Amino acid sequence: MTSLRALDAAPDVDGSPKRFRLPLSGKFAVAFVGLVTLVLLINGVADLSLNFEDAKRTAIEVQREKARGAAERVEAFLSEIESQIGWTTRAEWRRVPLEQQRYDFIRLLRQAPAITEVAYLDPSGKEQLRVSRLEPDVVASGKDFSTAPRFTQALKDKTWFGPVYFRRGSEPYMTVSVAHAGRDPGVTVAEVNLKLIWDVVSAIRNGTSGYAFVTTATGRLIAHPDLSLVLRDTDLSGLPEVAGALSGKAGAKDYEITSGLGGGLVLAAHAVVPRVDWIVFVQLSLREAMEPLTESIIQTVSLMGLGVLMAGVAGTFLARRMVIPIRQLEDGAERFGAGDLSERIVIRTGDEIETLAHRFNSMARRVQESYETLEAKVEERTRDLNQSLDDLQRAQSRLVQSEKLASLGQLTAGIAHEIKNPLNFVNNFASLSKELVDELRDALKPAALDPDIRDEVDEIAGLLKGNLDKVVQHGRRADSIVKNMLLHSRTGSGEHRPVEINALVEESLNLAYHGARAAKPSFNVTLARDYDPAAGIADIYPQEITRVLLNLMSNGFYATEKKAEGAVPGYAPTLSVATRDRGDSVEIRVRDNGTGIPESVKAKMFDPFFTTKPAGEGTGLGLSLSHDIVVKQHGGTVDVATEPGAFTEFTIVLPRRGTEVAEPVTAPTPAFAAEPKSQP
Amino acid sequence: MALAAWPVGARAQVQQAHVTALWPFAADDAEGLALSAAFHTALRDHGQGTLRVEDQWGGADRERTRLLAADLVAKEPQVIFTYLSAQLTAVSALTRKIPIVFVGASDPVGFGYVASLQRPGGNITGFTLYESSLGGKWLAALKEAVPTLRRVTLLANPSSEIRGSNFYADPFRSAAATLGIEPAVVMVQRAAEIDPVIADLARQGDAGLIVAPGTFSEANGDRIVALTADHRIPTVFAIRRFANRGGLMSYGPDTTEAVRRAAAYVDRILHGDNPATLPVQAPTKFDLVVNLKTARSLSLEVSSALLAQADEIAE
Repeated sequence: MTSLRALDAAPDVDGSPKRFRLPLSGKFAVAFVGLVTLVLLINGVADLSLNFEDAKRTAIEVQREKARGAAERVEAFLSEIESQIGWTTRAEWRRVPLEQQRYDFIRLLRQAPAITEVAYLDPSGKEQLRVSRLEPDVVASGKDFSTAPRFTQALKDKTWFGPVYFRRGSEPYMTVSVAHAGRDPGVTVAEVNLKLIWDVVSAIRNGTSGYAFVTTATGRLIAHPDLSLVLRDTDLSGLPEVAGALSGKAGAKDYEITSGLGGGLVLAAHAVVPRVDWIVFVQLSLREAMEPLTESIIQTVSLMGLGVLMAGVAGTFLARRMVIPIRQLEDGAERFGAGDLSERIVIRTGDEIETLAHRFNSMARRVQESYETLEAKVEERTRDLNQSLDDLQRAQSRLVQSEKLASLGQLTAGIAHEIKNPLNFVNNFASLSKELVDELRDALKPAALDPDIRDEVDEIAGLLKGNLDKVVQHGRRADSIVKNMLLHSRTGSGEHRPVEINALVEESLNLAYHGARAAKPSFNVTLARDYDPAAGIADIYPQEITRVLLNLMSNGFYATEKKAEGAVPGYAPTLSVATRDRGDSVEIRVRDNGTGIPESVKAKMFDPFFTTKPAGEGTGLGLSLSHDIVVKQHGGTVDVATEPGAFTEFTIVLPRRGTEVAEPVTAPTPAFAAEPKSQP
Repeated sequence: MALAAWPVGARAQVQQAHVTALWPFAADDAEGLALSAAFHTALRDHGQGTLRVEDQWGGADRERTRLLAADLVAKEPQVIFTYLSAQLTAVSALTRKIPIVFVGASDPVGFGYVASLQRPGGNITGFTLYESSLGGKWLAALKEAVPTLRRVTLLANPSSEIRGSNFYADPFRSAAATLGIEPAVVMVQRAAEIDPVIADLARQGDAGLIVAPGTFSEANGDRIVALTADHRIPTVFAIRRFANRGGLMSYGPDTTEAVRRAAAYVDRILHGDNPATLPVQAPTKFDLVVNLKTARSLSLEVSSALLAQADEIAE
């Protein structure tokens, strides 16, 4: 317990500088989310860069296609005008009547709204007819165009597209002249209002924000969906994509990402209309051109966001799932550390952590078990030690007692021996004196004496003789007592021999009784004798059996005395002694009506050194020795019947021929004094 | 009060753009209603759904036109649309701020409304309807229809007077010289002045009449048609509908188209374009209408060349 406390109280070694500590869940979540984010990021970036290139390439390709398409449409517009002019260029046309020619021109104007004026130059370059939407028709004005490019170039190239010019400073026009067929041809010259290309250009759809526009080879705007820009005479040669196209370098890229007319980045592509050297530009705001890319970016980014979010959620969830059991484990370990081993860690994750928790639990169980065992053992040992200590103390006091008794025994033996001689003198001389009294009477018989004196002498002699008889009688009794004292003070068990059982019992009873009386004069007990005359003789060690009987009897006296102290009214302390012949064996019973023996004591009462008497009053060896003497030495039995508060009855059964058990009991040296109280 | 009222007004202005159109027609004039409808439709097609377009019908009355102009300028619409020169003149004198989109000013540069056609430079831009060379073209057309023609009067009105001369007079005279016709340019300002001119032409014989476009002609065209029919004077109008109504011919642009395109300019200005940078545009196409019924009533044989040029033959 204390050692566990000490462990628990161990100071937080690394905790002293309070630095930030990312919890495990945080680390796990960060690692998880970070990894997922990294993967998504790499994927996204790769995807985007691929997509960007792809989208750019596609957009450029689309714009390029659109530019080519637009150029084709512009070209188609010009070709349409050329072909419309064409039907006035038949070889025989100059020979048709003027009215017919004018009629043709009028039809031409009607059919080609872009043409505002058409004129016929004869083979010598003179203007023969001019029909205009705005002006009156002119016939044979004779104006000489023989050196003008519209005439010479048309003859040379069949069709001549003149430079773009701006009427009234704003409206873009172009002269188109087509040489007639046949030899020595004339030329039809048309003024074409290029505003009408607006229809063509504005019809070119390019996404929602994209459009096409056309510039001359010098960058001047001639067609734009916003007509006002054209009419404003806009020079676009400054525009990067136009400048790029105008530089006309072969192999120069035909697309550009640049800022457009209205500001903002545009993707512009261009194509040249070769016949007129116009450049058709198609441009689309970069944003729109890259719309698929933008979508892809949004998609990728939102996917990434979603991924990161899901990773975050999953990471947090997993981290929590991982950390909660770890926390439980930690709490559990802390509880164990604090010494609370009763609770168990309950984790049901089905993984290593659960296993770990089980390990912790079994560890705690073991610790708890060893704890309990240890306590029980300590208790047991303590109890054993205490008992040993008690036993030792008891043995010590008994040894001291034994020493005392041993010296008392020797003393008693000495005194008894010393008393025996004078007692013998007393007895012998008393017997002798008795005989002498008889002799005296005999001697006096012949003597004549006054009868009164004679009567008086006879009376005195009778009294004397009676006195001497009493001296002899009591001398013998004293002799018996001394003999017994000597018998008991003698060491060793002596010899076995056939013994009159009733006499032995009576002798023992007397000795015990006198002993008890000697120790305590107030002691009073009724002795009941019930000797079976057939008890006869048994071959025993009389000293040992006497010791046993003395022991039992003095115990009985002690019990009655104890009960008498309880002052039970009408109580008559009684000790009954009985003998019975039982054929091959003899039974001796010693019964008292004392306190009885409690059940708890009964089991242990034959154990050596067990005693119920107060310290100093008993050695605890009496019954033990008695048991050994009867059972082991004589092959008999000792039984006890008792009722607490009522009686105790010991029954000894001795075989008549118990000599085969010749082994004497190795009794302790002071065995004769086992029950000092029985000693007088 | 004024402080409290101002934001409300400003918000109202922001919420609903306001465009005022000033027309040289009476409020019940069919032509005017048709053009107005075209204007409205075009604006709506450009997505100006929340736009409030207010039509002001001034007719040919100059005084009334001036009053209306003053009134509508005072209301400060986002854009003012004017049809024909007199209306532009009346409004442009009153404001240099409110954008004006016109249709039909004869010579906007000459009149000083704009600095140049490609960059008007001020608050005015729009669409011209006529070119001065049409003076010759009308005469040539008339001569072609009536080869016997010897005298032609150009009935001019003040809206095409520039610096004491008529916008169409010089091409008219030069064409007359080429065609061997005796030209006369008569400026009329009141309806009553028409009669003597026509009576005079009828008296001279082999005479024709060219009615120059303008607010006056819009208002009095029907009267001229009636008079010339009475006096059997072949007449060329610039305004198409009068050929349909009995004039011999008309040669002029599609005014409805011009109005539609002007609506596009109005729309652009409402979307923030600066009128100073919107070029003044000229028409690209002119329609010739020949009224064969009138020709027959005049005992004229219309040549196939002329018929070939005609975009519409009215019977």
